[in-house]
Formats: sequence, C-alpha cells, structure tokens
Amino acid sequence: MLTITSFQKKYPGSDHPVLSIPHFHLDKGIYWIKGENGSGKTSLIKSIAGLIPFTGSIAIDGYELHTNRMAYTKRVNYAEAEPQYPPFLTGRELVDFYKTTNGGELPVALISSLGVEKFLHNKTAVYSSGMMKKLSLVLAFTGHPALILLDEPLIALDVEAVETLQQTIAAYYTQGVSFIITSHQPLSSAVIHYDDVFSINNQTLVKA
Amino acid sequence: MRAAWQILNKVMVKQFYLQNAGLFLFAFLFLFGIVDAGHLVSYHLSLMYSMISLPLFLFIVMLLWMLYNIRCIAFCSAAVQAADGSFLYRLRGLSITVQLVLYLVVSASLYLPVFVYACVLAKVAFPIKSIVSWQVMSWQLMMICMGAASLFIVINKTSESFITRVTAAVGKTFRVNIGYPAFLLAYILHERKAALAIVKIFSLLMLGMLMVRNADGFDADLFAIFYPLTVVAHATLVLQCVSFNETLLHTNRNLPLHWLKVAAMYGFTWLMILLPETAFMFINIYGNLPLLQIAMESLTAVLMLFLFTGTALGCGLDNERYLLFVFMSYIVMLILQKSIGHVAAAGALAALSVMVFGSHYYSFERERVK
Repeated sequence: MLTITSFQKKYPGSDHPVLSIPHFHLDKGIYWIKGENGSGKTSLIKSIAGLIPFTGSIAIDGYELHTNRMAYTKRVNYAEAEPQYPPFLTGRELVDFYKTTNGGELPVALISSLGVEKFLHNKTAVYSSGMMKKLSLVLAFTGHPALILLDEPLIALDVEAVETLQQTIAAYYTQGVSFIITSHQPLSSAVIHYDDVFSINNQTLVKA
Repeated sequence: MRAAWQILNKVMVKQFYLQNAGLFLFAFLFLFGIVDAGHLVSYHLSLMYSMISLPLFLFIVMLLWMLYNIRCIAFCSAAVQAADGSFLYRLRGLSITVQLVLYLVVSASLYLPVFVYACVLAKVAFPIKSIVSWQVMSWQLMMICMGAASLFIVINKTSESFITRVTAAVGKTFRVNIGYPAFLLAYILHERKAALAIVKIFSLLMLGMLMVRNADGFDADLFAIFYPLTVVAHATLVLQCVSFNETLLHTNRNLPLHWLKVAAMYGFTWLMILLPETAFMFINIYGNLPLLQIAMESLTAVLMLFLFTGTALGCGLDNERYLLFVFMSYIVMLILQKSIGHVAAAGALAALSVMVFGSHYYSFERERVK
C-alpha cells in the first residue's frame, strides 16, 4: 500500500537529516508511529501527505507523489494535530471544498455522530479547539482515500468523540482504508486497535 | 470546481483587496483625486500619450505593473504557506487543467485593476502606434500567466528545489549566533525592515541636504534644529522595540536581569541603529563642524532614543501620549542646547534618561485596550 524509498528530510541550515529512510513498505492496516518530541513523527506524516518538501520517493498503491500528484493526493487524507483554517471560512465551505477536491462522498455518519452539523454553518473563527479537531477529522474521512494520516488524533477530543473515532476507524478499516496514527503518548490497543507499532530511532523508522 | 473557486476567491482575492485597501485608495487618489473632474479625461489621456510616445516612460510603467504582479504572487504564496492555508494542498486532487483554469481566474482577478487600465491604454495606442498596443497587451497576458504558473508551482511543490538547498547551504555557512544583547537589533533588522528603511532614507536625505548640498553655505543653527529631527524620526522604531520586548519577549521580566543590563541592551541597540548617521556625518564633515561636536551629537542622539525608551515604558506603550512626549523632548532639547551648550545638555539628557528608564522599568504596565 505505502512504499517509501531513499527518503530524506533535512531542515534548512542542518547538516544531518531529521529523517532518513532507505526503504520502507507497509501493507494495508492500522499503524501507530511513536517517538519522542522532535523525533520527526509530524515531519514524516506531513511528507507522506505531501505538505512539506523532501528528497526521495513516496508512493501509495503504485502512485508516486512527485510524478502523479493528482492520483496520489486523492488516495491520502490527513488530519493535523492542531488544525487551523482561515477564520473567515465556514465549516460548510471547507467540507464542500474537500468534497470537490477529493472527488467523493462526505462521511455523513461521522458528521452526524460527532455533532459537526450543528456548527458547520459558523465561521471557523468561533470554533473551539475540539470543534476544529472534529472538523479536521470529518475532512480527513471525505472522499475515497486509501490511507488516512492522523496526527495525534485524540488531542482535544471528548470521551464521546473518541468512541466515535474508534468506531469510524474500525468501519473504514473493514472497507479497505489504512491508517497511520502518530502519538507520543502511550496508545493502548483498547483505545484504537492497531496492527503494528513503529518508532523513530536515530532518524529512521524501525519496528518497535 | 465552484466550491474550489469559492475558497480561492475568499482566501486569496477578497483578502488581497481587503489587506491592500490602503494601497488602492492611494492609487485611486493619485490617479483621480489630484485633478478636478473637468480635466480628468484630458489628464489621463495626456498621461497615456506620454507612455505611448516615450519608450522609457512605458518601460517604467510596465516595471510598476510587474512589481504589482510580484506583490500579488507573494500574497498568494504566503496564503498557501500560512499555517491556516495548508489545507489548500488538496487542490492537487483536481486535474492540471482545472487547476490552471482556477489559478488563471485568481491571477486575473488580482491583476484586474491594472488590466483594465492597460486595456484603455492599448485602445488609445492602437490608432497611433499599434506596436505599443501589442506590447502592452502581451505584457498583461504574460503577467496573468506568470501569476497562475507561480500559484501552480507553490501548491504543487513537493520536492526540495535547488534554490532551497543553495539558500540553506549559504545560510548555514554565514550563520550568526545572536546573543541576548543583540535581540532587539535582530528584531529591527528582521521584522521591521520597511520601517527601518523609511526612517533611514528620511534621515540620510535630510543629513545630505544639511551637510552635502549646503556644504558651501553650511548653517550650524539649521543643523542644530534638523539633526535632532532625524533622531526623532527613529522614535517609531523605539516604540516598536519596546512593544516587542514587553509582549513577545516579556518572559525577560522573569529573568534575574538588573534594569541596568536591560538599559545597556537598549543603549547598544540605539548605538548600532544610529551608526549610519554617525558615519555619514564623519565622512561628509568638510571641516564645517569639529570632530568632537560630531561625536557629541551622536552621543546625544543615542541618549535621546534612550529617553524615548523610558518614555514608551512610562506611557504604557500608549501611542498618543508617547508621541506627545517625544515632541516635547525635542523642543526641550533644542532649548537646552541653545541655552546651556551641547556638553551640559548631553549631561542633563543622560541623567534624565537614566532616571526615566530606571523609574519606569519596574512600574511598567501595558495600557489596557479601551
């Protein structure tokens, strides 16, 4: 499903890469990536999402990011740890935008169970951090992604929302969607079921 | 596509016009406000005929249009790279054709005011010199396409460019470790470049008028009045620096720093900021002023800025009160220099500025927003 080859991420002014992954392959599943603060979890996940530049190659289902951006982008969705949206846009406008660009359906059940429809018509300027997080999760589940990247998904969510997220992940997993979840806090399998755990040690991704 | 356009329109087009409303107002007043309504058409026609007949004038106008376009591109690029604009990378999910159409519409919408004026210019030029007409229109289309292409590149950028790698390498080679005493200086050079440039242009122009243009008929009295005015122009930088130190850097207050050390940091900053004026005066002295007096004037300038620092703290960063005190300080300084002489005035200023800073540093409380 996901293949990473000769990957390197360096930050300006640094000699050493923050991440260096010669080769890495993941099959369909739910994966947890753990690591200390600053180990490069978010850099890796943002690189996979295509948000930050890197050297090397990342492909999903054979579609490489640099050479086939459109097909790649449609196959990967991403929910940030602390999502931010322009304050003058409404949740509805963002949802419609994602529906257009992802070319798929809205996660109606998730919208309803997270209670997002109540504040969808409001501008994001009045959203709390929990509302922002819920909106970002809705946007990450929009369309027909093959891989959903969740960066610290439990931050700012209430107990009910965590339960809804668990159920949604399980439901999408059975439909063939894979997940990469990052968290620097211990993630119990009882909270979110996962198939394997990886950690970032010495600037590379290893099986924990 | 409609939803994507709606988002781009709100994030880029509307925000661009809102944030640049001042610029457009200025341009409108410049183009339509300086002549009375009766002569408006003939004024613009004569401007256009000048552009058509003088290639240099047309070149300058085209250069200005390009600068405007660069401003549009920089705005869009910043909107995509902002933390709350990262969601725009989803546009990659659209086909290249749809993306290019969208970016062309965005670029054309941002470039619209210039495009309309250029169309009128091309219409006027066509019967007289058709080549100018073609030049102008192809330039317009090139500008719009350039805007769209840069937006496409910014949104679709996934690999590290050669320029990024070179910039990183250069940055690493010439990296300067900034120590605490230079924090404020770094803030001005990095964050207040435009304000610094304007103040420096003003002050060096004024010094140029006083010391170079009037070198033969140098008037010491005029110099005594106008040189402090160049120092007063720096008051805005002082307020911005104090504001930075008391807001973004306010954790300083939790450090075991004696107020004299903070005062020294401010003193060092003002000394460095006023270095160009000092150097300018020493270079362009032409025997009109004794070297010692130049040194004294420079010291007085640093002390004046230090007095403004204490005043900014005393005013709780309230802009109006601060400006009033700055103006009063300028007048009092002029009177002191005239009545008791430069050395005694500098001494009095040193005592006063240290007293004002020392008494207000610990009692500082930011003015509440009313």
